[in-house]
Amino acid sequence: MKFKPSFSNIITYVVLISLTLVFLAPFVWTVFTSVKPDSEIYSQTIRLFPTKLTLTHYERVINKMQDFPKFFFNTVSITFWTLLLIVLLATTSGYTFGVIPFKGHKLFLAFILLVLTLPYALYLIPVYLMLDSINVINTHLALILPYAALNLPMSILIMRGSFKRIPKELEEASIIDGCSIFQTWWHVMLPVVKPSVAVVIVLAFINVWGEFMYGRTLTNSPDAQTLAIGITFLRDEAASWQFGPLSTAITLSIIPPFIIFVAMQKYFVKGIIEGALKG
Amino acid sequence: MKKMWILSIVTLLMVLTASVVFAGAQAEAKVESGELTVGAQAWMLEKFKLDDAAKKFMVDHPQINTKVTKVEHADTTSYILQWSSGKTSVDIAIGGSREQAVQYVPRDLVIDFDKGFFDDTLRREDFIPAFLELGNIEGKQYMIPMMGEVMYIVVRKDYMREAGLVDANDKVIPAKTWDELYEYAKKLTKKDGNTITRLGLGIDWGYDFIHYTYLACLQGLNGTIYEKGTNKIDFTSANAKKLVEVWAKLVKDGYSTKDVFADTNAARTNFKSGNVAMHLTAHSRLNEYADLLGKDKISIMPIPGTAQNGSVAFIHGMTIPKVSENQEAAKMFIKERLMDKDYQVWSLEKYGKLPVLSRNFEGVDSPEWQEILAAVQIAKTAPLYKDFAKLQKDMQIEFQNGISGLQPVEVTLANLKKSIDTIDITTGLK
Amino acid sequence: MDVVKRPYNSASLEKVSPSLFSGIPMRKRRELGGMLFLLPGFIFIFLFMIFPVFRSLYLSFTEYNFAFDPKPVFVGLDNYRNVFSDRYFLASFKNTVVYSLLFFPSIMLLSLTIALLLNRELRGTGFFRTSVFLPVVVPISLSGIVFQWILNDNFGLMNFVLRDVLPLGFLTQDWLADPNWAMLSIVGVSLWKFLGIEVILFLAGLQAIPKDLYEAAKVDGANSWQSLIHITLPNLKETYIITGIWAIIVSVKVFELPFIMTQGGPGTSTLVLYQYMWNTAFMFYDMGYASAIGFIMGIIILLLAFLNLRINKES
Repeated sequence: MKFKPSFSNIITYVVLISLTLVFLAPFVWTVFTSVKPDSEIYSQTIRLFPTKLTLTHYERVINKMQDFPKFFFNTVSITFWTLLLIVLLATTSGYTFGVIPFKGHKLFLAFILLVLTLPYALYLIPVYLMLDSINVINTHLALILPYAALNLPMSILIMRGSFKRIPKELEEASIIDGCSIFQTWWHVMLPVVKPSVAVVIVLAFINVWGEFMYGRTLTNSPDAQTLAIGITFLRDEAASWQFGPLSTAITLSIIPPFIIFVAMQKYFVKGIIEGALKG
Repeated sequence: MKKMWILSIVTLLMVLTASVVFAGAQAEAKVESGELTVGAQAWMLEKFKLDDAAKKFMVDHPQINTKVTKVEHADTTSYILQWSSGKTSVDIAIGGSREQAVQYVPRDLVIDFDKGFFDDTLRREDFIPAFLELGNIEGKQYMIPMMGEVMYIVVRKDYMREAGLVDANDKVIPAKTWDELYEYAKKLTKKDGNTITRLGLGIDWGYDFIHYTYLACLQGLNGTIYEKGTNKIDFTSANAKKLVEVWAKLVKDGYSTKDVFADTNAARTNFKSGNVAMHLTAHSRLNEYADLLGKDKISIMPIPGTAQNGSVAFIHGMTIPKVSENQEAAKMFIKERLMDKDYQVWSLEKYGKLPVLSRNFEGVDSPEWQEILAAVQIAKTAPLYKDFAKLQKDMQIEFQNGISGLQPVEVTLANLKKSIDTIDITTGLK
Repeated sequence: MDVVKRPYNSASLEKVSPSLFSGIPMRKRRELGGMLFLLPGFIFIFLFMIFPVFRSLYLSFTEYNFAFDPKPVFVGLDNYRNVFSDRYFLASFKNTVVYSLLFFPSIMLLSLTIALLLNRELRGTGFFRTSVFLPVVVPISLSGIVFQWILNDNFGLMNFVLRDVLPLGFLTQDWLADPNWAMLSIVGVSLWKFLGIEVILFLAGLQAIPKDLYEAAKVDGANSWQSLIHITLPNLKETYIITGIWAIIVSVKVFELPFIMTQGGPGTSTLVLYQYMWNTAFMFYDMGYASAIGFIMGIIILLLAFLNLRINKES
């Protein structure tokens, strides 16, 4: 972490700063628009920076657009239940996978790798028909179940790797102490793999929060739509482009993933690396 | 070991109970007797006083708990699935035209209004013929229109004045041919160097309107939308070719633009900000524009030839699912509230959505509405094909390719001829 | 150490673990318990992925218009045969390839370059890394909306910046409505969205290169350019494979951005396989044909994944 004003350092900074500008511009633009009064949003010449700050769009989105709080609640609820399911299923399945040899182990692994590479759209049609036959299309459950399933293969692989890395002595000692498999799993193994659980949670959170295709197909009204789906309709419905409320809705809906990202950046980065290695 | 078992079972149970709880919680919105649920596309709640209609209906019929829910636009898939498995979340489904309705018919999912809907208070003859026709499938009335629209050109009168395109009485002089319309567009376009600051003519070539746009223009030119002696949409006549050539030329010369390809609302948005002089679209934009820009600045003009030959109309219609337990209440609601003059005229005056009953036009005397009413009386409808959605998508793709010069106009029309020859153009009903 | 390598020697374990089920060998019990642990996850994957794959496979051999046909009708290989004469399938196939050919090299090159710059660990690196990474956490549909607006001809930020901030007015375009630019624009937005992931992967690869290699090179009098060419780039071999396969999968699976920004238009210029399959299934209700398209995509991805495996094994 030092700065010597050498030629190559200056070039590096110029490149990095201009890239950063490109990368951040959409965020800045959206956030600024959300606090501009309409007169500045629709002025003849585009103005980058707001001269007057206003919270009217926020007030409107939160108080008057009935659907936005619905979308928000749906997203939170769906994400929560999905994560809970994923963690439960991935830590149990991943445990067996990682430490207990069983017949068909290789076949199952092959299936997991297969479903990871196939395009998700392939499952979409049968899943649609299936969820409809049990009467849950357009409910939270219609998204929770497939979201959990879609994130499961990767999560199981991550947990499997993590359980595998635990020294065998640890598990053995616990068995010798007379612990059952459940006790071993709960008291001995789980505490060790906590960081990987965090990785699974963060990855799945980002996936579920912003998933589009399944949500777009398996829901059809604001009762079950998430932010990533609902906001695309806020735009379509608007007789004219209402950029103020639109940017506000977008700004509000990316705050949670940002918080998660900032708070758990370490796990996130780890998750990406592990995920890519396994995928 | 025991715990192991217990845990596994508990996990499974949790999954199952969660499923049941959720399914239960979400499924409760289903119909109970005495509860009338009207499902409408989101924008309709703004442009037709549905909530108010429901309230008034409940005053008249306190035992029927009526509510309006919002559904994604014209989502036939979910209705087909629900209805074919014997469930429904709505008693009246509002949205779409008979292209949507026909998909419900093969499995007998919607009621036929011929039985016990029309009576002395509401006769078939009360409807504007084209609108009623748009709910008719092989002779049976499966859909009742709620609002109607017709393809037209909405213009900026003040720009037309500047360009000398109004007569002595300050009335817009309609362009009679596409060549004339091209000249209009040329005159009305303003450029600042290479940048177009005002566009002469915006045309709705996006997916949602391409079929209406093409059919209306073709009807104006040929007096029919069909190829001679067939029930296939015409992609072979000289006029069809001429039309697409003019479109391509408009774009090439910069008097019209492709921006509607990416954003179907582009022409509309730009018209509102004053950057478009004429907009070929549904007539109902007239009100929207007049409200924003001032009545004095907005007028209408027929698409070339449609004043004699008729334009193309479409509706936002209503179906009642057979599985609904409240069919009678649903019919009552339609007749008593949705056909009510006050509501229909409110929608007309505020949003330009046309009343579907001729009598509701009485007393509406602005010259524009009289002109539109006359146009609607002679308007034609899009044909009913089983594979219309596919054809519509093909039309969007091929016209956009042709207009933007990616392929010659001849190829566009030849491809579309191929499409119409391969798709199923029956109604799909036996 | 021997014990550690073969820890499940049942004889040694059974002696010390008294249990109600002492009749059943410990190893068997472990296996049984393990299966129970596995079961819930397996059921999920089976119900929502494995079973659907076979259902899709079956549908792909049938004709099934979801609105009109009461039941799928078996038609053999018809759907697979039809794709070859379907000009929209061919166009979307071509577009997917074009997208991949544009996206793949640019994301590899850009992310490697950025990773190399970030790896210099100058002051502020953390900030730069975070900003390159931020788009990854934004829901992709929202990215699509914002960029549709930014790239708009008349009121978009992009043309405004080019015209009024930088003196580059001649570069302004109708980015999404011009057939020559629409695909490029989507590739650009994809880069914005996905670059962060590849940068992270490359950074991880760079940090795994042993430091002493560089020091040895320094001793030999190599300048930084030479050590880049002779040490850094060759040592990233494994990373290229990982990032490469990842980029290929993203390319073949491209869907959301064109779906939101252009719906495949203008004409067919941004119609990709995924979008065509979605249209076929959920606009035309032609479930059989749609499933066949999905399987063709699956086969393409599997072939590429297999290729990756081969390369992996060889190196």
